[in-house]
Amino acid sequence: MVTGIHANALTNTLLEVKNLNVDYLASNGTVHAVTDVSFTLQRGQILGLAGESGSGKSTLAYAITRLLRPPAMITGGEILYYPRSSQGRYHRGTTKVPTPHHSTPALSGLEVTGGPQGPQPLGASKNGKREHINGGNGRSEDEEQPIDLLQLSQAQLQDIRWDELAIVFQSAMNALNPVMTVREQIMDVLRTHRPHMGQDSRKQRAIELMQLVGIAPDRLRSYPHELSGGMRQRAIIAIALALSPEILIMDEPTTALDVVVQREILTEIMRLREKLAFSVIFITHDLSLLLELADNVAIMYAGRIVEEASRRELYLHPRHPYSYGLLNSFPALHGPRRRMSGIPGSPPDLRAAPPGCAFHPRCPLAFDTCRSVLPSLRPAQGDESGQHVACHLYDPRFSEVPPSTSDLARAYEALAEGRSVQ
Amino acid sequence: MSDPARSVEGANAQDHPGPILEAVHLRKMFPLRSWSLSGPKQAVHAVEDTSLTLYPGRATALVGESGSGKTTVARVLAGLYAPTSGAIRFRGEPAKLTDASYLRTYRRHVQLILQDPFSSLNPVHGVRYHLERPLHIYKLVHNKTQETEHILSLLNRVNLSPAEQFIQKYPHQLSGGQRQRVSIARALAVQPEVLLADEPVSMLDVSIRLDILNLLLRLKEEERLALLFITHDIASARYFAEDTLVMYAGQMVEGGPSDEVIQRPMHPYTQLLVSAAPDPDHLNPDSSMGGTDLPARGEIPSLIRPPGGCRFHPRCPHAMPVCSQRFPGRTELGSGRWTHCFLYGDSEPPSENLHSSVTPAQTYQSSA
Repeated sequence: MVTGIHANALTNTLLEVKNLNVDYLASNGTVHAVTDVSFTLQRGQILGLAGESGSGKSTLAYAITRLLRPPAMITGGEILYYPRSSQGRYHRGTTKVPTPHHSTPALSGLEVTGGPQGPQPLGASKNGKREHINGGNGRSEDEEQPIDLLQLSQAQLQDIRWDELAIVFQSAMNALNPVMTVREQIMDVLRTHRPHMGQDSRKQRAIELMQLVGIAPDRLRSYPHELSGGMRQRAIIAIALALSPEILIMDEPTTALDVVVQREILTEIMRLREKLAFSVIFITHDLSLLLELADNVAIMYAGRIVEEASRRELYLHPRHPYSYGLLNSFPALHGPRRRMSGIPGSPPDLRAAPPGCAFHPRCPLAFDTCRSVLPSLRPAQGDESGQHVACHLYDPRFSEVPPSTSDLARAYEALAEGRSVQ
Repeated sequence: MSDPARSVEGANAQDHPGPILEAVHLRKMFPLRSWSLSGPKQAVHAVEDTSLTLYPGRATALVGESGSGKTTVARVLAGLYAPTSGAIRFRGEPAKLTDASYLRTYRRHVQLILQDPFSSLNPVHGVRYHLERPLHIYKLVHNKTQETEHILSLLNRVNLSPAEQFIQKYPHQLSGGQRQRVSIARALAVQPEVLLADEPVSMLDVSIRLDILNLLLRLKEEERLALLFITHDIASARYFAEDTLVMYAGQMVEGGPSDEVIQRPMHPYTQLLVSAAPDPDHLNPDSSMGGTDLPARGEIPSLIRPPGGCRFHPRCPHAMPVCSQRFPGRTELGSGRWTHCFLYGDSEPPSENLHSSVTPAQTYQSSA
């Protein structure tokens, strides 16, 4: 379901994920890692994806970049990418000559796609190059012509990745090649994606990129082990930004870093976003971080988005009991010190998720309907702000009065007391 | 349930909550292998002149970035490393950690909980084995029935129920939170008086963390354990501990009641830490996080050749010439707070102009 917040701002839409499903095929049962996930990313927006480990947030990131490998399979949905209008920031038409092999369809049988055909059917993108898609059929329509990333061949993906869509992985040490200097790794990207760029301009670009992320260019000669954790993460961000992508997906980019370094990296990301106007999908388990950083936050639980809201709404009044619990799992720096309760239990096994709402076994407010009927993401009742929640408590069919934030607080407290009495 | 045992051993702990474990001017250096015989001997100066005191029924948090020496402090206190200099006092008496039989008794009372529950349990042994080993080693049980009973009660104490099922499980069958509960149960098996928890929740899922912290809090209150809580997360230090100590590059820089230290940090490094911590209260419709001012860039220095004097001076926005010459003495700030910083005076006569009119306390505060 396309959430209402974005429907009226289609021209500004950069990425639209519709009903995405990803499964891991395991011998002892299929793991439904991402189920029916839909969201929209606007240009220049930072979208935060939060959830515990196993909630499917990284799988979602990998699915968007089409980096999933078997046993993971995308079993349905669409990922629509809305390229920038005809001006084309990259002038790639001049640097890349379409070659026949670009039109070869997917070579491997692993390219599993499914779901309904997107607005841009496969046939239209068969010509391969994005320039063709963009420039081929009339410039006036360009802006509204989305590309379904799930329909692209490997060669087509090669054009999209890094140019339009870059990813920063969690572990900086593992993401860099230990036997190549930072310069070689940046130049490697440029050589592959900008084959017509001269050696000198590549070097120049590498220096620019290092300055961009705040590393002295003389560190270009360093090997990854010679850099500190923070510098490595900066180098990775520099590499991700090498081709000025539209979307930067960051999968827990600061989790392995110390707080002070983490703050520096975040400030850097914010500064770069101002400067280069890319959009970010920021994945982390640290909700308190997202509340500072992201424009919109989507909370995932057991492979589904259970709540989506602006950071302010989420912070002031989380609607889903899980969001509330997650928010209250982070002790505050200010305010009165009070006993917090956390969320009892642990996340479900996704091979056999509980029927109904997957959160019901841990939910302090669960009632009968929750155990049988799956809630869908809908506007939180009486709320015009665009906060969406997948919870029966906010569905007038099942619950007359939606709970307030303090009701959620009381329910968790009661649960915590009940447990300590046990 | 361990109260009877404790009342015998730590008779005065209940009435007079005197210190149970003290570290006095602890230093720890790890010598490096030097290749040239004539060259200077090099060492990692991991911990310098650290003093801390743990009280029964009280939690003390030790906060710092990685490389600040906080884990080394815990390991020295646990008797895993011998301190280079300084002393450990247990129940008011010097701990003779070089004496093997003393060390055995000492370790029974001072237990360490490790950070990573995925590597601190032996994958080829079940939960039962992990919990029966300490019971056997310290001869706390005499027959199988007693042993089973003891283990089941331990599992119940850490909220692993039904205990009868968990006793048979292997580590790979447990989630991270459950494993950490098992390692807490293992530490509790010998009825310790001091628990040294080295980042006990940082490897766990967010929703599980509070559960484990609350479990430790309950044990602290019900069983009057003295807890050392090592963490890099200053907000959970505030939640968990009565007192907070801040370490930077092996030096203690500030300490006092947690709320005081975190709400009104005095030492520039503490200010930096607090301002860098994620804080949804920065939430402001007009400002993104650009409001936070971070003048102190950079990272913890190498501890092989650490900066002289106060090790924070290369990053400190208030650094003065004296800061690089010697480490400031301890300045008491009242109500149990102290700091090592020339900005607030020095135990030795300060040079001049140190009590200048500008207080640095607000430097890092968000301008928003």
